[in-house]
Amino acid sequence: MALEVINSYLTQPAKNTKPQPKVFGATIGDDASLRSMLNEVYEKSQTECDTAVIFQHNADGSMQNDFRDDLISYLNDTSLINGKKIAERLQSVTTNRSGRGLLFLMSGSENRRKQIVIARFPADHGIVAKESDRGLNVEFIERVFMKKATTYKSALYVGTSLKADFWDGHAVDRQLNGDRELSAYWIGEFLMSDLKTTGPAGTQRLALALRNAIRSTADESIRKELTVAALSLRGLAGRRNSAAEFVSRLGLSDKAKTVFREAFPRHELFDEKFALDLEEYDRQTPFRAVELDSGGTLIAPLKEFNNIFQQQPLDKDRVRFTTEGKVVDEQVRKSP
Amino acid sequence: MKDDELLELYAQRYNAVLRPIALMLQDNLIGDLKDVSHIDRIAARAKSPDRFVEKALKLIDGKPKYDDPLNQIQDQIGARVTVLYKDDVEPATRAVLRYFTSIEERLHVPEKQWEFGYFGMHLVLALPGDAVPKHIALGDAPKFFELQVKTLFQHAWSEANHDLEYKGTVDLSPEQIRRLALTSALAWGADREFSELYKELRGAAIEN
Repeated sequence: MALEVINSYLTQPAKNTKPQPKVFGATIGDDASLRSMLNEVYEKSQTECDTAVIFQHNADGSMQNDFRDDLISYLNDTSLINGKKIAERLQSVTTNRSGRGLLFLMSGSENRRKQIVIARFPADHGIVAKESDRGLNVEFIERVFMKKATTYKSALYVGTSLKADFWDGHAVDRQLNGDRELSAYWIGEFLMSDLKTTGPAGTQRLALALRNAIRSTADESIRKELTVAALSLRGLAGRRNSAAEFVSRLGLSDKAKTVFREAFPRHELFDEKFALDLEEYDRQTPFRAVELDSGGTLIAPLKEFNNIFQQQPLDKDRVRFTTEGKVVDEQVRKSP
Repeated sequence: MKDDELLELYAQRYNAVLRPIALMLQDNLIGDLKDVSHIDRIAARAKSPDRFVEKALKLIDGKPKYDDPLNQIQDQIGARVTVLYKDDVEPATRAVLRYFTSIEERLHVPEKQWEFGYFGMHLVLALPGDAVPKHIALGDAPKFFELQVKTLFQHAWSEANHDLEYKGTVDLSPEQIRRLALTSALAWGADREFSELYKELRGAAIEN
């Protein structure tokens, strides 16, 4: 969908500030290089905005969201004055840590379908060096707005019906796993949204896929890799990532990653972000089982496994497990 | 779009997309709520083609309520969690919201305190990708579905009321409306009594 209208607004850090500073805006006209750069941002947003988000309902539970109202109003009329409400909203939730920013509202339409990209470029310092007849002219500049890889924030909404659509979208927030203030700023406070996948839902999906992947593979090394991953995942509780990102962090081999991905009910879900929920994770993967080539199997609650069984590495791949306790139950079965 | 075209289009969607999703959603909900006590049943269904068209053609002040009904009607898939007692509605709702994101949460009660009629907790929730069978593209699935949490008596009343409403060809008389309100009041009273009895008996069991 071709980019048609670009409006930009300079926003100040003004959270809890009264009165709010005035927001100045400009429509980006025919400046070919600027339009070309922003067009790239607009087009790349389809892949860059990788976090599914959904608007929160009103505090009384009704299907209403102030940000969405401003968004719909802007999509109805993409004038500079109409977009100012969105910029003012951004300014009112921005603290000094996020600082000044340049907000871009980039929209296009095709038949009845509309698309909008909302992108914030943070302010930075810079040095400009210009060659002249007398040599090099070096100058410090204060307000440079850059699409920084570490702090870039954007959101993408696509839909047909202004009445029914535009309740969900995709966002990118490079500070999603920053501290509370930074991670809440873009999606929670500005977009008034939540991740579409709740922590427990994403965690349940991940844990079930991991369990099924371990069961499904006949490859001992992959099974071991996935079992170690299952244990290590607990240490990533609270992080907001996709399953794909979690396994990258754990350094799984490509083979193990493929087995894991195949265990998801749909491949798209492997890339959906959520906050890893420890309570749900332990509920879904409560036990760790270790099978030895001696024929023995050790099973213990996942959280306590290392306390219950002490491990002593022996030569090569061999390991000795020791434990002690009072026998409280004993069973003889034909099969495990 | 003509009425018969809309009916045909929705009927295709009903069979190819909505019914398989409703089945999968029902299984997911059963799994998600397996640890919640006092759940009598969990069911999910796709809105039938004739009821969809009936809703799609509704008028408000002489104008169509929906200009894009296939996109705008959010209860094409509906789910219901039926619980035993009134006090079970809140924990069941909380359990649902652990796994689903809502854009609406409303407790439906009659407008005035001295009126009786429809009661029930209604949620509009994002349909998760897990509920969409692999052979259906995510873009073809509805984005949202409606979920109701009701007590057994609320469920019974709304089912019977819905059936009477659907079958009725004439407007109800004041007397008939009063009789429907009476059935709602009886259901409300039954819920209250069962809830109180449960609390009393559970309290007695704990004391013993």
